[in-house]
Amino acid sequence: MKKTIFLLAIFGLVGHLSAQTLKVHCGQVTTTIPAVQAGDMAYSDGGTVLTIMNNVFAVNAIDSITVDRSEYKASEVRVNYAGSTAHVTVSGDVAPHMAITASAADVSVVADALLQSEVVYELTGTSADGSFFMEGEYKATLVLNNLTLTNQRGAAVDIQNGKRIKVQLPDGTTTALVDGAGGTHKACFFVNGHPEFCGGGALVLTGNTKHAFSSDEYTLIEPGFGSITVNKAVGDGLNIEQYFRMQGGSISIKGVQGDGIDVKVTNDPLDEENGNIFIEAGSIDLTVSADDVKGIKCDNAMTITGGSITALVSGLGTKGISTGTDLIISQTGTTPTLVSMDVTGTTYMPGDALLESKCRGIKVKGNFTFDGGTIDISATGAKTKAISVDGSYTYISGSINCAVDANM
Amino acid sequence: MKRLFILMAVLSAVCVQAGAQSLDYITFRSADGTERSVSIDGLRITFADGQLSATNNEESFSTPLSALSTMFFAEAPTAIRAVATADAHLSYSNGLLSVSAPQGEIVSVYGADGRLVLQHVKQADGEECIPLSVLRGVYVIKMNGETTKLMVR
Repeated sequence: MKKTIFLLAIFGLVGHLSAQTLKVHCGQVTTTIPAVQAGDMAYSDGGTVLTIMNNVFAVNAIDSITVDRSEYKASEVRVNYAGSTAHVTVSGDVAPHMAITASAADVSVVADALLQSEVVYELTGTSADGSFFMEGEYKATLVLNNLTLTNQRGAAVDIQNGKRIKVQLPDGTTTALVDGAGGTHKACFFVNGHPEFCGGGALVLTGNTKHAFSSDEYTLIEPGFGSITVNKAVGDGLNIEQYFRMQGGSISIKGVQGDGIDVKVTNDPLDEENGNIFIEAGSIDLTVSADDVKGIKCDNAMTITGGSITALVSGLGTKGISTGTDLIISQTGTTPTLVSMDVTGTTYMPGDALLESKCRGIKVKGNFTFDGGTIDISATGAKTKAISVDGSYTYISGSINCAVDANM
Repeated sequence: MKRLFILMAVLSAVCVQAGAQSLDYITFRSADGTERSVSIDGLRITFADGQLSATNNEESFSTPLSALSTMFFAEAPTAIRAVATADAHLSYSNGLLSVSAPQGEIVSVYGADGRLVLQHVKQADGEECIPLSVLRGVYVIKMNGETTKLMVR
């Protein structure tokens, strides 16, 4: 085994020494070209135009061309933020399909519809006033690699690409995103498509205008994921359309003036699992203290089959969990299911026919089925209830230490 | 042991391929066929006032952008130089190749496709005019251990 590893290291070194990469530097953007694919780099129009691998450069826009022995990586856009500026490095194979603008620390990448391959966008560095905007027609990967980014004027990260967006937080990294107050944007970190979170790193969000995070389609948190922490949001911590599925990782939300996690139906009735939440593993830790808000809210059904939800719920009319239709709590597989809440508070807008709202640990507008796991809810305060069910309550198995107020 | 042997064979094939692609030079080709190669080590190319300037760890040179045709990576520097109009050893005009070389020197002319067009042995020391009736194009002349590109217009 030792001999194998030694040989691999030697051959890897030889391979590395053989690589050559040409770099065309134009302002804040560098295009990389692998030497083995460069071919004839043609000058035309009297030497005013240089074409390399379908990348057309105006020669007078080129600051310099350098060559080094670094390894070329295809299909990548790397943005490094450094204070009041940002530098973009784009691979030559995808650069012809990208409109990249970088002004101070604001970076915009718009990929045209002809780009039909996945690009990895990696963001690193630090800026107290910068942003990243991306638009495209094909699925992509967004790597947040020890990025600390504040945008005083809008969303810190705005992904308008409506496809699958793999959001990767590499192990051991921490990314912190903050937006500015008084803006018109929807969230500090926004994804128009469907984000899938992976990697063992940490993401910390602050939403000073509205939500900390928002997606216009489903959000998935994969097994082995690290953490999302919301320190503050004027709106919701996580505002999600279509559905939310959590298969691992941890979410911690506090300091929100809206809901902790809010899952809404989309306008398309054909969208699958519309308005549903699935908690399969991982942990959710919520502190909700504003009036008439919910720790976790969904327009349709919520299904918990593993993992833990822990909530401190206070405030008038506030609810730990609120479902638009049914709630199913069970325990499948090896991951224990735990729902633990400490609920204190009274009624919001008492006597108001439309707005009156009472404090609940769990509020189910449909039916509640409990088949495994542990429910531990402490509810105190006038007219406060641990669990309130508009429909029927079915107990099959599990441990529960509070009353369930159901109609059937 | 068998696994180790297979691994070595695969990695050797990869390295042979990688080694064959060690492109350590950039060659600049002008419209007249002239070529100039520079090592990529420390290479930096800039553009100003209609000129391309290339600087590396060993040398610097400049060339007019308007005269440039292309540049490309190469494993070895080009050995081809253009025929200078004031070249004392070689010139071409009106179908005659004028060669100045010792008696017995072999002059070989190749087409762009590598085909041998003419081979002549110098009959005497000094300058000799060799009939060379060819079409317009690029030819390579080998003589005295040197290779020279000839553009016939």
